[in-house]
Amino acid sequence: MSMNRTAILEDFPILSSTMRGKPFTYLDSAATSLTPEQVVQAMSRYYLEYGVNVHRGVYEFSERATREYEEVRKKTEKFLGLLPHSPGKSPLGHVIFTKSTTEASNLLAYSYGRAKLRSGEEILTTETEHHSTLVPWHPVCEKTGAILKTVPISPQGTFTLDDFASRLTPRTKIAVFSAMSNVTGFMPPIKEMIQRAKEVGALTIVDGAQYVSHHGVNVEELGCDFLYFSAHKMLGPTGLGVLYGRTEILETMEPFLYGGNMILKVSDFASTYHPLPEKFEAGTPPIAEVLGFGAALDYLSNIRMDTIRDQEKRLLTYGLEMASKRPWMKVLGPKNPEIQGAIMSFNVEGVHSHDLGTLLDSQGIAVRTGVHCAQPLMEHLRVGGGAVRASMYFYNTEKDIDTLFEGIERAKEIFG
Amino acid sequence: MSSLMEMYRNPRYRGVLEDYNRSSTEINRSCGDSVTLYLRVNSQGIVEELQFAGEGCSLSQSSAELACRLARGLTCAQVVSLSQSFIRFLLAEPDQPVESNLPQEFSYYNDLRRYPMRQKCALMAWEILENLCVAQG
Ligand SMILES: Cc1ncc(COP(=O)(O)O)c(C=O)c1O
Repeated sequence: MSMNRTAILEDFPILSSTMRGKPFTYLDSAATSLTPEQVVQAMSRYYLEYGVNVHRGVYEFSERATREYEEVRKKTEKFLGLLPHSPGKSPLGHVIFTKSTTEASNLLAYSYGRAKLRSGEEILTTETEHHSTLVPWHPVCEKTGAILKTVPISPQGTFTLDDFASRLTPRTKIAVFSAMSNVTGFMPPIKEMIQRAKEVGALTIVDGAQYVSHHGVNVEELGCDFLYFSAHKMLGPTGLGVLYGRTEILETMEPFLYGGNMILKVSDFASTYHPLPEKFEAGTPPIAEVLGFGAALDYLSNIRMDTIRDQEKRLLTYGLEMASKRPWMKVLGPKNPEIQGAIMSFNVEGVHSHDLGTLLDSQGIAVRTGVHCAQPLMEHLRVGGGAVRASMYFYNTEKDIDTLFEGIERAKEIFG
Repeated sequence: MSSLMEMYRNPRYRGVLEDYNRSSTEINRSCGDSVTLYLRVNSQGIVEELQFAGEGCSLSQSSAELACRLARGLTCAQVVSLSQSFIRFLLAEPDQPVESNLPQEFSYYNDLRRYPMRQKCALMAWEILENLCVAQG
């Protein structure tokens, strides 16, 4: 199925706007995706028509808000391939709404890491991680005496299943890694990694912040214990993250935040908690954002995730081809669309990445520059000064890539 | 842009001053750019000699060059006031011309007024210079 351009332009009015007086070319979806009209409408409908709290009131509007909020939870479970709960049976896993990927990662570091790890036990991660997946484990190690080990990467920013598996030991209690790098786009063999980590009894945590917006996932098939991602990178609003977790593990964990909504019974000095998932959703949740996210999931299901992946693969192949014709361009990463998501990071000889970013900006092209919240990775790739990242989503076209390369050529001329 | 590029490409003040008595380094966390200034300030408080080192974009490196070119031979008090006028210049409205009593080289950075995210790059050298001149009179 190909995408209907007219419909896309209608749904994303920002695509027809200008920046710095030039037609707007958006190549920064890995930072955050653009938001379609449908998502904004779902949120404004809530605020204007029935904008009241959930799980509280007994009146009709609150019932509607609560019902729709919970419907989005079900939609998210379906999106992740979780089978519908059968009555009387405990579901395999739960979807918990958080503030962001970052909060989900911290939730696990606190409620699992700090509570359960012991001195000398190991956490295995990789050199490609985003700060939000890496940094919360640093204080966990400081507090518990656990040891953080990392899988090293090749000059292309990749590693093999063996590189990963050979670092698992009987002491590995947690394996935490991203399914797709936000800098190189590298997608490691996560299914096999999860399998190997489980063989040594390690808990598996997958950072899906980049991956989930571009690829269909099925958590039952993947077999991971946890997976988290952010709504704002998949057409949804900011301020909302999703944490999927296996029921039997979530049940053994203490809450992360305490307060209203997660409480079953409170006396002056003690309280008992709601069952899952409310146990991990203290306070008034981001209701409008959850409803907006529901519309985002509908949008993605309508296009289909495999159509999105195909379109992006084509764009990446095209971009890599254009880059390969320019010997003065150095592309980071595997340069192989089979194991690389829709991200192309690069440097241009003789032009500092920040200067390049600004020259592109002056031509209406939005890209990311700098070290991309992944300083260790940038150092391992020997690009301490940063790189320019062009990242794509299904609403991009070959024309955007052409515009990017025209911009790069101009910058090269000015600095050349 | 062309004169800015000239300073970026052919700096006269790049290097490590041998007998410096004041020096400081700054690193921009968001992009990793660095600037180090080496100053020799004499007993009358005059900046006799200065040089810079560092790595980074055209803005951070050219403004280190410009700061060196303009500060050489000035008193510390004059350097501080020059640095502050550069900051005021950057914060002014995009179309406002450089005041006639200020170095006309400032105008190379005119466009930067429209790019607040990049102003930090150009300010690094001036901030170091100002601190080195304020700190010890
Ligand atoms: C791979 C990866 N992990 C985690 C995050 C953090 O997501 P958020 O800032 O939405 O919490 C990002 C976002 O940039 C990311 O790309």
